Amino acid sequence: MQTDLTARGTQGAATADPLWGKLTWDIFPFYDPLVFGTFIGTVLLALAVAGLITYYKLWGYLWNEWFTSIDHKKIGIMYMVLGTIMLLRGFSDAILMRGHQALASAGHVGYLPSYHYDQVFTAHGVIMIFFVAMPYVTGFMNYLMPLKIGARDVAFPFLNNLSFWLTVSGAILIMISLFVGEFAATGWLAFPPLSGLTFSPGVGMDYYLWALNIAGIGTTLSGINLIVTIVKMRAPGMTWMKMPIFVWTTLCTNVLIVATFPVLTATLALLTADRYLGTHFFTNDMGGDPMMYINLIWIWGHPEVYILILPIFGIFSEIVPTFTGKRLFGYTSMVYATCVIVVLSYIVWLHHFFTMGAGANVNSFFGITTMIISIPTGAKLFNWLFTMYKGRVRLDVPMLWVIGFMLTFVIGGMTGVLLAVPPADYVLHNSLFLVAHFHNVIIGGVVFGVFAGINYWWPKAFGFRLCEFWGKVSFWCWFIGFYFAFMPLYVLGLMGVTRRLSQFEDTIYAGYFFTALIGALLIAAGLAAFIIQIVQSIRKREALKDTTGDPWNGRTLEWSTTSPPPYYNFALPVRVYERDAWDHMKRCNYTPPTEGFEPIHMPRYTATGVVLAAIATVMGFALVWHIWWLAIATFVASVGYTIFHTFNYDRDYFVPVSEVADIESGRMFALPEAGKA
Amino acid sequence: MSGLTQETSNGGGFDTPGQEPSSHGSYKSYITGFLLSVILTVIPFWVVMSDTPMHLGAALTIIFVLGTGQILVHIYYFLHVDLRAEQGWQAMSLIFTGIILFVVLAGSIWVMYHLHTNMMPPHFINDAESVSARENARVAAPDGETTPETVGHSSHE
Amino acid sequence: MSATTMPGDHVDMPNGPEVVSGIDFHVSGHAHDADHSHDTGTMLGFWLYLMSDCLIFGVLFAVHAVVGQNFAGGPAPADIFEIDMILLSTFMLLFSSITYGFAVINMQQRKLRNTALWLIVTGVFGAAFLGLEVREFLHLWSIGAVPMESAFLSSFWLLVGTHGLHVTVGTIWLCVLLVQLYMHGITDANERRVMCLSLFWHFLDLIWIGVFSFVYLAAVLL
Repeated sequence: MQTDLTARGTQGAATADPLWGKLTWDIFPFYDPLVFGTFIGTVLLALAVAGLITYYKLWGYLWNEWFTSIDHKKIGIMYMVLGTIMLLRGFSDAILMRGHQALASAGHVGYLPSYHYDQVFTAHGVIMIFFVAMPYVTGFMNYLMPLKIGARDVAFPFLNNLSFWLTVSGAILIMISLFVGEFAATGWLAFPPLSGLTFSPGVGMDYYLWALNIAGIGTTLSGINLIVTIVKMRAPGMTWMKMPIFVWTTLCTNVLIVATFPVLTATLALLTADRYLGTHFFTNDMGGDPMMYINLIWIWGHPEVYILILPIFGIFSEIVPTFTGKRLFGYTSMVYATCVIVVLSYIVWLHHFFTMGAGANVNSFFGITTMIISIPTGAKLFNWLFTMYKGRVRLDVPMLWVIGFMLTFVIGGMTGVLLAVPPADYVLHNSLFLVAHFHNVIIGGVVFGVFAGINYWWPKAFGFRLCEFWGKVSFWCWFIGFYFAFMPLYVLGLMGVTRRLSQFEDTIYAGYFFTALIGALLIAAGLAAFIIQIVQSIRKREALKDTTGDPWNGRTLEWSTTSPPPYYNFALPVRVYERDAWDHMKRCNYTPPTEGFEPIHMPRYTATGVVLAAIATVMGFALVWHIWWLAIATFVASVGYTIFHTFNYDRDYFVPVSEVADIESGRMFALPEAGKA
Repeated sequence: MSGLTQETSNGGGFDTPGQEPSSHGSYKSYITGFLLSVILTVIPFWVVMSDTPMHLGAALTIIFVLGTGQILVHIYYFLHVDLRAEQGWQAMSLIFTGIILFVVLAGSIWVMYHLHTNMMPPHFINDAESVSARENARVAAPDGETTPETVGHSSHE
Repeated sequence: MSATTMPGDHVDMPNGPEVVSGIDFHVSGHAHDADHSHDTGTMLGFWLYLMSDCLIFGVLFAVHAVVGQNFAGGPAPADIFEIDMILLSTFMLLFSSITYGFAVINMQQRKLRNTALWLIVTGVFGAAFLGLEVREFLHLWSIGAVPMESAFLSSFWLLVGTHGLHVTVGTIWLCVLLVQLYMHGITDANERRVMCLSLFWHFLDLIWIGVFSFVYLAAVLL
């Protein structure tokens, strides 16, 4: 272990060369067989994928139909793919940590050197929040919201594409850091002074800063885009209180995004200035104040939690009525609860650092607001329960995930309220109890919701259902695995084990850590079952085909289109009369139109988003490695390309009536049997 | 957020397409705004630049009240924020941003004040260490001039 | 709220008996003019961007409020600020705000030439403001009041510099827009762009009020 400690943070700490910056041959991880093996494996895998794409001549298809696409549905699916790829990366970090801690607690040294272990837990947190959970929820919002409000695309389709690729750009930088240099070893929010130049001189922190700043700009733009879409492009007749709950939660989420991501951007920019320009915002000396960083980052950080969970609440609010065959109970209270959460989420941030010493009056204010914010969330749970009450509940896979969520999330919520009590927090702060708590709400809430949503909307997006059996296997492995993995951590936390430890003196924790490892392996099985589910379903897609467009007897407008929907979504604009618009249409024996079409105004595909994001990635890399000429060149290129883009006035076209009529006449459409009963 | 839900009563969505703001201003309104801004700018500058003896609190009050006043003048005469424009979303998002700004500013100052009082030993705030670092750097520099690099560097060691 | 919605009604009719036909579930394309909605969407979107930008400045102001008195033995505001020059810069921005307003009025009257002239005047005032700011920064650099000296100076440079960066972006945008006006005249797309830049420009003036009141005037007194 000694050698590793001395090696701490030396990656790229050398002085910069004018041409190559801090890049030297030493940065490649030859020193560590584990990392180097992964590196070789990943490179081979990437080459294999690239080879297959070339062999099947798919590059043109991918470029023309997907990468340059500004169709909100394709962008939504690409977000989901990004989330899934990064989930695999983030999860392998988790398995590494669980295995290491299980060994380390049993008197062994484990297999991760301490400094490497620090990078693994940092990467795990950053990836899971920014590049798994965020792409997943953004993907859902992108795909579903325009369909649910009867729109043909989002308000700014090009911007949507750019936002996606900027998120990818951040993810690429993080993936590069695995092999070229190192990643931050500071914890996922990188508190100074540890993250300052003095204590983290290596490039890991710089990867962190540029990846998050680039991705964060993409997220802000996406937030603006989706708000404007909801405000401006709802179907005629869809008044505020007739919007599906998912649209409400999307609106509130994006309000949160637009009103908090600037705080993250500014805070990280100040830390970047400290590291690059030698300023003293968050340093220990010259009047800097590291506590201010912690204060600011949590002003972003707490609303961020709700950015992740609110769209998921929307997903549950769509699934529960469908699978109970009833209207959602307490629609109005659901809307108000969501809005109240938006406002309250801004005044609870200090509960993340009760122990920093703001004193009794400040702590009690934030403790009380934290307890208050659990009330609207509780109200939502009761609404879902009352929707199920006396309903004909169908236990399909999406509904299994919802019920799993309800049980699990309530436990997580209650341990959260426990942590909101400042004296209790003094005991439990930064212990494994806290780790167990936020995994309990994020896995039990966000991850379960994402899987519920994937199972529910997959037929809409691809035209065939996901296979039921492997879906159930996946659910039970995740559900049981979760309890095995995280209940021991609550106990360990109460026993006083702090988070982020890689070595243990005492072996009494070993049993708990081994139980947690078994849980993690069960979750790995659940993840594998999910992949098998998708592969199996694609192979059996003919048998699982959805010809109705409405496989679950849904209630909202997206089910009124074919599966998958045509690229213009709706041949004729829909008029809405009731809350559950599609349910109403079915009750009125609605038949899709066969004539009376008009030319449809659609935006053109463009490569600008991909190009700008590629330039941003190179710029980020150049800045990380202090390759100043390249950073300046790419900066100038990005400004120039943006200006060049504004000279393109020809951005849209009209789909001729004949084409619309062709697509619509070939449309396979029949009301589902259940709807006719 | 009540403004959000109140809109249901008058429709929303495409039934009432967002009208252009009623006016983007006339010469008269721009000149009015300009003159008001000039007055609201000159007074606080005069308070600071003239050597008129004045109570510090009074001077600060004048600066901040007139500054706020000028911000309102700009919002009304130059940005043309209109309660009805964009179905009220323009004004509402401005008010929401104002609330968040208040939370961020007032909250940070409140929290940080308490943290300083409780957690920062007095010498940290006056930063005796960096003062001495600066002195060392001055001594080290041959002509008594302090280059920024030397100060920044020595403080890291 | 429509009569069909009964809040809190949990005894629902999944496939209710009422079968009404003859309701028109579609809108003819003309009533649903996508182009019109797109126009107003841009202005709202840009406005929301400004609100998010406002929060970036909010954070910078909050940081300045917290560390702005940490001089670390270095210079204090009263030692380094030249208030008379700040007054001059303030007037440059104020003039540019009103001249931009005149450009907008001329654009609405479809007077391309006058619009362009007022935009050029605006750009000149903007450039003058930037020139004064560069002059101030050079002066501060020469007397050693650089951002690495103390938390106060870090915060001052970053806050004022971020505002200056925005004005620079605005000025470059203005030049690009002049070219586009020359190429295409006052079209819908160009009119939208002029209005967006108008919001941006006035917004920067608004931020400057905060800067001169809080960063300069109040700090010199304290």
